[in-house]
Amino acid sequence: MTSDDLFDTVLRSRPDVGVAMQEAHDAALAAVDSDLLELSRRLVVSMLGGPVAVGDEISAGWSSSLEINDRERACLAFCEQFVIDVASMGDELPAAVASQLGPDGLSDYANALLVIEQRERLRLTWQLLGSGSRS
Amino acid sequence: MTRTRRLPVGVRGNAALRAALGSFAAAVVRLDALDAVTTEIVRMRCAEYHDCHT
Repeated sequence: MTSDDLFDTVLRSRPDVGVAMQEAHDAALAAVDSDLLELSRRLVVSMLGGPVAVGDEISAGWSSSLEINDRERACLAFCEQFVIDVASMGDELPAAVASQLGPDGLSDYANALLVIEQRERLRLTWQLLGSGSRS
Repeated sequence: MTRTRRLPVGVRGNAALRAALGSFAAAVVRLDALDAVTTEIVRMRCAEYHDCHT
């Protein structure tokens, strides 16, 4: 079952929420570079212990990888702290993202990450609860 | 915790994304499956987590 199918099933009785969730997802994808957002999503899923396709996992040692550039490194560090404890985010991580994406880019990345992270947490929770298998 | 401002005054980002997030939040708030006490506990937890003092 795809994520879209799962959300459709769980939110069948509340289509307004499902539509709003999908529109937020679409807006996030439109506002932020899709490759950067997909990389962030893979880190979110890897950290939350969700299913990741072989080769798509992002290991704990990602920060020292030579395969990611400075922009991705700044955003993944922000993303990592966002998932662990967003309330404990220091000033350095958003400043690093702003230095790469600009102030508007930081705003858009944080908002898009919120959409992606919530979506992945909901997907994993509903899968664990077996919600998608209900008729 | 008091934090320094991280975005300059006037920076608002992508309007469509902000609007979509607002619509999603409003749709969630309109849900009524949870009882009032549980809803308030969740709201207070979220407010603390996001450093919101309302």
